[in-house]
Amino acid sequence: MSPSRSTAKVVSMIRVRVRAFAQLGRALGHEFDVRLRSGSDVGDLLRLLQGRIKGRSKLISSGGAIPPGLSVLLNGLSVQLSAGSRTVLSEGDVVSILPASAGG
Amino acid sequence: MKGSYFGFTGRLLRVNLSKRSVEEEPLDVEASKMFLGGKGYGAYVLFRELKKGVDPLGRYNKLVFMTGPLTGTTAPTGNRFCVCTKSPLTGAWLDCHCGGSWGPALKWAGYDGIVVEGCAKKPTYLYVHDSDASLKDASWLWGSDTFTTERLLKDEYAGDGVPRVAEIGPAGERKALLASIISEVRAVGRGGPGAVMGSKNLKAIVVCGSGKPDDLVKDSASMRAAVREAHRKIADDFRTSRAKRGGLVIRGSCNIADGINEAGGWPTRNFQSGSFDRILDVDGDAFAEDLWVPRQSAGTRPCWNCPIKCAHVAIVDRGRWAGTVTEGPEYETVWAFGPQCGVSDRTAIARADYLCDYFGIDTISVGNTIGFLMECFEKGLISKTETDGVDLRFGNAEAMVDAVERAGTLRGNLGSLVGNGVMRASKKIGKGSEAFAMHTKGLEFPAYEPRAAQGMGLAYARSDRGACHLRPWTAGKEMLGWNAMDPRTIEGKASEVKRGTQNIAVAWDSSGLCLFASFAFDEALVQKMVTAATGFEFKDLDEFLRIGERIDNLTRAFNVREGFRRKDDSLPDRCLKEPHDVGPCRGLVVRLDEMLDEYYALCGWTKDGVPTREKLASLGLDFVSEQIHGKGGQHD
Repeated sequence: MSPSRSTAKVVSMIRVRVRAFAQLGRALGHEFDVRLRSGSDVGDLLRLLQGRIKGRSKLISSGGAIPPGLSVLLNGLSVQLSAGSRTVLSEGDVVSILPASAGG
Repeated sequence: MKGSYFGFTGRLLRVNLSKRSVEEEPLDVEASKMFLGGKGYGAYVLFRELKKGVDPLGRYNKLVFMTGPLTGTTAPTGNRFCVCTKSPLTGAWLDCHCGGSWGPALKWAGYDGIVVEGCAKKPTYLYVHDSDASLKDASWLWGSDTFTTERLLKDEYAGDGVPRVAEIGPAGERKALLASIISEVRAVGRGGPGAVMGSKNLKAIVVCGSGKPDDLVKDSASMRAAVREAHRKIADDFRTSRAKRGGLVIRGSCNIADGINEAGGWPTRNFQSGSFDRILDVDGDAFAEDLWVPRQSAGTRPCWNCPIKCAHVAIVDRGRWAGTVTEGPEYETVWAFGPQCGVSDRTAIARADYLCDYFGIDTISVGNTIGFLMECFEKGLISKTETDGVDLRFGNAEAMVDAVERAGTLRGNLGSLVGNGVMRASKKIGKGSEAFAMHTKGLEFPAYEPRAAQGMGLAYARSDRGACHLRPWTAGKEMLGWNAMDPRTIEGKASEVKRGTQNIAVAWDSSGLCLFASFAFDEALVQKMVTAATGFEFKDLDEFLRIGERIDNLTRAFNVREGFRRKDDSLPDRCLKEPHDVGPCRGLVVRLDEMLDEYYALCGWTKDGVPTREKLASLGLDFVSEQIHGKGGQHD
């Protein structure tokens, strides 16, 4: 019996740029690229980043929502204007993550 | 202090500097029900008492220092006072608000406000101490900077309790049109109130009060409950909570710089771009890590009764400006002397901030004007001849600081150009520079790019005092993602601006609370506290907010009487004709005309921006109608 030939599944990937600020920037680095599977959304990205910083800051809730202490912009626009953490990312997107802020 | 008035003391001081008289008069309680205190009551006084066309720097203009019903009470952030006048910078209505401790001290001395009129023949200051007030010679103080003035007067009256001082510096004495009034390193900053004070030869007002917060409140039990709720909300909010290391607490007002910059809304090099590439050098984090002293150290000076404590103190420990100690710099100031001038040297920004406080001059307007002159210089519209030899290029930190120093005393041509603001500078320079002189009604733009947030464009244009970022502040929703509104569109912006304007006018600018508390709790809780403090009953929240609408119509009418119309609710060509360069709003200009049409209609104003007779009548402002419409017809 000849061994079955395994066929490697080609996984399409995208690269997004992350810009992080304040304590998030100190924990993650201020600017870096992340490769994700094509079709990934903002929640997937935040879960990945959460793994890097463990419990130091909360980037995503257990229910998959963006926590109230965090602001996420996709190409400069709040993801609240699209589908929040379920907003699908595209190649070349810039995701800014910031602690909730107020002032002026 | 309890009596027929609650929340208010029921007394005003009327100071006539020409006659050297100081008299007490009762607060008009009916007016306080209609307009509350602060801005509202100040507008009520000045609309009735100032004549159309009054010279802002002449003896017939007046300055009203007003507290609100929550100033000096236990309500958290109840430390604000406001100054109202006709602005010498714009010729329009002006109200400016300030924290610290001066407002509560005035209230505890037994007065809700002070109406200053006339001009003193020689330098004078006013001393108020527990229901006693008198005018004093200030010749020995004239010429002093604000820090020295405050220290000398506090030393003078140290035996009378805890004196609090509001004063002008050399800029106000010289009637620089950007001059501010300073109190405990906080500014009554915008539109030139310090010049009005200087024109009256009034150097300072010292107040000592021995009253107590609870003296002023009608229903102590309800007040305690509302105050507890307010504290709980401030402690819960991610932005204002100390326990949660909220951004406003840890990184001060400049905590928003990153988000605004990411949204393409941080004006850079005089609004030629909306993004500053050296953001990490000048954001709140950078100042917190580098220059600010630890919060728990003795050097920090929060406003009275503020649980947020956004203020920070910076100490420059290196370089040319080593030894500089300054309060802040705040978000607006960092922008004005940072991105607006293409500067990322934090020590230079701190130095410029210090100099503005020292001379008593507005950081936003000074930085805006220097950035404008830098663009003129780089474009060859002015040369070293006009700048008195200063190499006024973007990014030249030393030149920027030098220009601030000259502005503080209106020294030379450059000092005069900067110290009197961007509108006059552009008129003097001409050559098309008006297109990028960033102001509305003569008041310089603050730190938000209106092409990156359509609502901010409308807010700047319609504001009663000229380009102001706080009437209202739509940037949080448009750029920082709170209850997000799309910054690219105009849908919903007119109603957002109308609602925000009237809410701010009553709940914050006329109550005596700091606007920063609005990040944690809303107008409904302010109404509860106002009712507990004053005993004023409101049928519902709408009735309370209607006070704000009344105030906004009154200041609008003030401006209409001065000749302001739709043409003055404008933005410079840069915003209307030059497409924005970065971010989600790249390629956009401000669609101002469309928003104004909708906004005026919502407000019940004519297409020319004039409140109709019917609208004024519905707000109980018939006395206003007669002055702007006459007895018969109606303005278009």
